[in-house]
Amino acid sequence: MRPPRVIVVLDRHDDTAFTQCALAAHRIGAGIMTIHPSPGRLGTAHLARDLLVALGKDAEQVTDASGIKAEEPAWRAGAAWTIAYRIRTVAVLRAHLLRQEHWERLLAFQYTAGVHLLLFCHSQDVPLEVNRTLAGAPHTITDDLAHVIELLRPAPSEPGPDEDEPAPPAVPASFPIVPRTAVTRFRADAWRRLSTGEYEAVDVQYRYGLQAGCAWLARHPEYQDATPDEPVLAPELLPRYLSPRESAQAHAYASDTYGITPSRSVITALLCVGRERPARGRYPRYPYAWRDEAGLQVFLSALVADCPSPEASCARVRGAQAGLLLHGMLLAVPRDLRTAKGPGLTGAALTEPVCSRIGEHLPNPVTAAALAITLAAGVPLADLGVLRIASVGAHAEAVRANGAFAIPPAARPLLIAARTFRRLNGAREEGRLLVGPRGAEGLVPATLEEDARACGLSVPEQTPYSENPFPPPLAAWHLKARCWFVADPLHGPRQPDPDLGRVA
Amino acid sequence: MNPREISENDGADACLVEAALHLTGLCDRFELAEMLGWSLTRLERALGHLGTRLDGSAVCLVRLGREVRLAVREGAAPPDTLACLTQRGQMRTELTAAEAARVLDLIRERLTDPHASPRADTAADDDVELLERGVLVPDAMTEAAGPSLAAHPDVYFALGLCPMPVAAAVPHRPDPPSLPSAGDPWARSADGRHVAIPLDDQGAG
Repeated sequence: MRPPRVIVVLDRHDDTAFTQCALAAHRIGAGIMTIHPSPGRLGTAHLARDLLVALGKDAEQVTDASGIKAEEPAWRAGAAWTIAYRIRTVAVLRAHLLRQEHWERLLAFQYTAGVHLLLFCHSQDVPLEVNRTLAGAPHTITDDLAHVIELLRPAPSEPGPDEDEPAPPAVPASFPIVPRTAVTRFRADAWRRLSTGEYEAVDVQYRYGLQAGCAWLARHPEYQDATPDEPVLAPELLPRYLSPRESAQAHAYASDTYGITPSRSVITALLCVGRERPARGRYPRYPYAWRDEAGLQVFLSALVADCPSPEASCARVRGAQAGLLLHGMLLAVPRDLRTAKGPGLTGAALTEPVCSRIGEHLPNPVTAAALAITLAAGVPLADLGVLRIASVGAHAEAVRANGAFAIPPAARPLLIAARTFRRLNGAREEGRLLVGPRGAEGLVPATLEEDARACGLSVPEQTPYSENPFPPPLAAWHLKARCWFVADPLHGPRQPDPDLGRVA
Repeated sequence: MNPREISENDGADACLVEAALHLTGLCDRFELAEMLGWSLTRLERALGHLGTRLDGSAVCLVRLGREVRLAVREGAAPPDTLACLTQRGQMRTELTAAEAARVLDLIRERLTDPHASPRADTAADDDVELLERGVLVPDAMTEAAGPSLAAHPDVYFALGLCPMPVAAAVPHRPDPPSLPSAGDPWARSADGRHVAIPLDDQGAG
């Protein structure tokens, strides 16, 4: 990656092609942003507001109450959002009309945000006023339109931490009410009780949960440590004198030949049964507890994070329970899952449009993150205990505090912006993540509910913020979930067939 | 303290102990008193008050030695209805670790050695309850060799190990209203798949 640079673009003949090129390049999602400085020789706080507007923030919301109207917080918020949105290139139009202090601010912003800064001067030369400022900063000057077009070309996007995972299936707006029975008969009850279309809608979510459960376990070190890689192939199907390779070939033949018959899924399972976990010292082999509770909590909350329907969330969780059972793991969740609180049930699906709305209406990164976290967790913010900057994972894929929960990809920039904003404010890693304009009390409960309404959303009923050092009881369903190794796996380490057990 | 105050306090205590029994199920009285921060005398007084208050309701207080629990009063509903409701309630019960181990072992045995004779030494304590809950069923495949158990076909379907569930796995249903087929309420519907039954156990809760 190229190091961040400052480039002065000289549009000597005020050619509209330069401006059009900058305007056309503006695309936050592609990492390129174009700022239109307000006309008139205003203060640098106004330029910071122009930066926030270019970032997609509602200018009307940059008020005293937002806590970022003043010059310093406004620039920090701008830098934090720029970093969070992974913006690589920032173009500033009409830079020749800006004063020296504006240029100084822009250069400081460029350094903080680590962006390429293109300053468009629609003039014959760089303004004399800013020469001294530029002299202290490495920069280049160009008047070549083709070069500018090249500079404003989007860079190939870097994959996120979990972008290689299959996308969850869409949930229809009118999702049926699912059975309230336990995993052992949930799917069969759905099949018996729902219409064909309703059952199919439920089963899509169920199978997604099953596969997600298998996939999560298959790559988890704790599971890999406990489970041998090589399955012992079902001996009774084939002559015992066959070598393992010959057995595998025979099974592959059987699977290929009879793949469309009802025995397909049984054959798939037979290929894997027989893998036995070794005994664990003097303890009986089973059951023993799954140790990575935080990982389990993140997995479960991620599983349902995008679910707009609690019924669909229940279907996915039941599917995940089935997937884990195939691996000899019991996943126990609260019995009355549907009426429980927590991710996928009482929060909101943090989809791209919802997160865009939050980012637009709440320009203060901390406020936006507080709302996103509350919606992701589905419980009052106060129940999460004190969230620290270090509570947010490296890519904001999860928050670990009083229990852990996943943050959907669309909401991660909101948390990254908050973390960056707090760091730019001088906070340390053990410092609070969510500190409002009037301290921690400034965030909950009243303002949070108000902020949600401003975004057209609603949050779970909030409880007063407490300084109690002892965290409140765990309220969210996924924090009560527990997992045990209970038997040798019925299933192999590889991904299950997507059509496994699908009703034809 | 005047008698009126004592009565009001007992009423509040009875409410609290009722809530506690709802939440904990079967509970040791000493443990319950400790949980509530009460003396045993106070707990006994509250239990007595609660027992009196529940007279005439469908629920009663049952004492089993040191333990106490709330239960449905005998005769509160016809036996068939009660059995059906109990079974419905049990269907929501999650597997315990020991139960899950038993079920998976049976599935594994069936997959690896489907025609093996039942082994008497493998019966588990939980089998009766698993049978009642419909998680296990008598094994038809090994019937000739002796009584044994297998996981219910619904469990196989849940795990994707068989492509279809059984059509009627809810044997008791005393009053099936407005079902498509009057003769056999659990028969398949016109699309040949399944019947749509009212989701009476699927409301909020």
